[in-house]
Amino acid sequence: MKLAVASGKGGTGKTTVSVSLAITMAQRKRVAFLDCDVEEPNGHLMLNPVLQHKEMVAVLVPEIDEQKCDSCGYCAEICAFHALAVLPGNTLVFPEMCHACGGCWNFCPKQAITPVDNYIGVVEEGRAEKVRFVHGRLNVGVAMSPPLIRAVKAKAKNDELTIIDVPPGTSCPAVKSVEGVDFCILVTEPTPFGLHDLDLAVQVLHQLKIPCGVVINRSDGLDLTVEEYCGRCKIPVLQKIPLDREVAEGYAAGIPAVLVKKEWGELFSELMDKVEEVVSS
Amino acid sequence: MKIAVSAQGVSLKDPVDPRFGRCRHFVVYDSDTGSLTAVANPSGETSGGAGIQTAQLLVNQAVGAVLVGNVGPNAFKVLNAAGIKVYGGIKGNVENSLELFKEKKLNLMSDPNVSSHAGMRG
Ligand code: SF4
Ligand code: SF4
Repeated sequence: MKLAVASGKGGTGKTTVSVSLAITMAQRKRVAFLDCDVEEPNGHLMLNPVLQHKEMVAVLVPEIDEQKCDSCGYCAEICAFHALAVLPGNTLVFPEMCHACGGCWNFCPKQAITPVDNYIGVVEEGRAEKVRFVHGRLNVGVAMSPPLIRAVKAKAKNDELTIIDVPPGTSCPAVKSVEGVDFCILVTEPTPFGLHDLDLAVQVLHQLKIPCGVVINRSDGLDLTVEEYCGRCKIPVLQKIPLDREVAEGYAAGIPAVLVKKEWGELFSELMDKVEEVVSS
Repeated sequence: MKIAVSAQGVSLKDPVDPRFGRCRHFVVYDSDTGSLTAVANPSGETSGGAGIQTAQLLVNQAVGAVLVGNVGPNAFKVLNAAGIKVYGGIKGNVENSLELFKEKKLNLMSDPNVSSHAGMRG
């Protein structure tokens, strides 16, 4: 099964949930943790994996042969992403805008354009005790994360429970990360702001037709607004994780909840049982 | 030389638009002939790359200078490579800005002054 852990915004404790779930489930079955937050990966800070394998990821970008180019301007006209600008005697490429559609190098009338590799980041793999660990790191200054997210997700194996840590928010990187999963856990806090962001995330998941459920982190035990919202939208509340000072301190020090409080393993096993129940129903 | 001013409308009396890639029009004044034209900027609704596309528009119009409020790094790179001078800090309407330019009261920019995407709403 492929399971995503997402949140409408940062700072909800999403990673402590995804990491704790991975550690708990790894006691029972094969688990892979895929950190798709390639712009700011932080799963490794909590899991401390030993990284054994590294792979560079490239996308294709156009390279212009100035000898052949006659500055006709056609490539800049057809590029839907405005990644090219043709000046007299000088054609500029903006690699961070290019989507590698191939239009320019296929249609340049002078055949002055060839595709070349542009390295955008790395995928690193290793183990954190029983958890197989994969993450991606985007190079500084690179704006386009989806190809790297795809490369991280390509490391998933069918015979494992795959837990995908989704970048916060509801923009393109978050969408690319949840695409194709069987279920998405949404981590939220019981505050009005949390609810607004939760609602945005729920709408995106509905559009993608991905079933989801909510985990209330730092629960005050009441969580009326979140519960009412979930009831109204028919979204199951899968688990409530209490507000706990020790856990919060552990989080700040990079220690996942389930390692601060061993007895919380039960909370995360229950969470997984609930997910399986919803998925199979 | 042709001087382009990023503007909200098509005439001298129309207010300027500080956003380069997202402005609706450029009012173009030709200092050699004294003629005035307006060029619509179709990039306003583009999702990304508006600055590059807008700079390309000015390159195609063969302007020598552009008067703007803000300009981002990609657009600046294109304008710079094309030898188009970028003057910042315009205010008021198109006419005021052209006067400030003639009086040499506008700053010639040597760097972009906003990040990319700064002109995007939402
Ligand atoms: S289409 Fe080819 S020849 Fe024309 S400007 Fe682009 S690179 Fe140069
Ligand atoms: S490959 Fe496509 S997106 Fe990239 S520069 Fe060429 S036309 Fe534009």
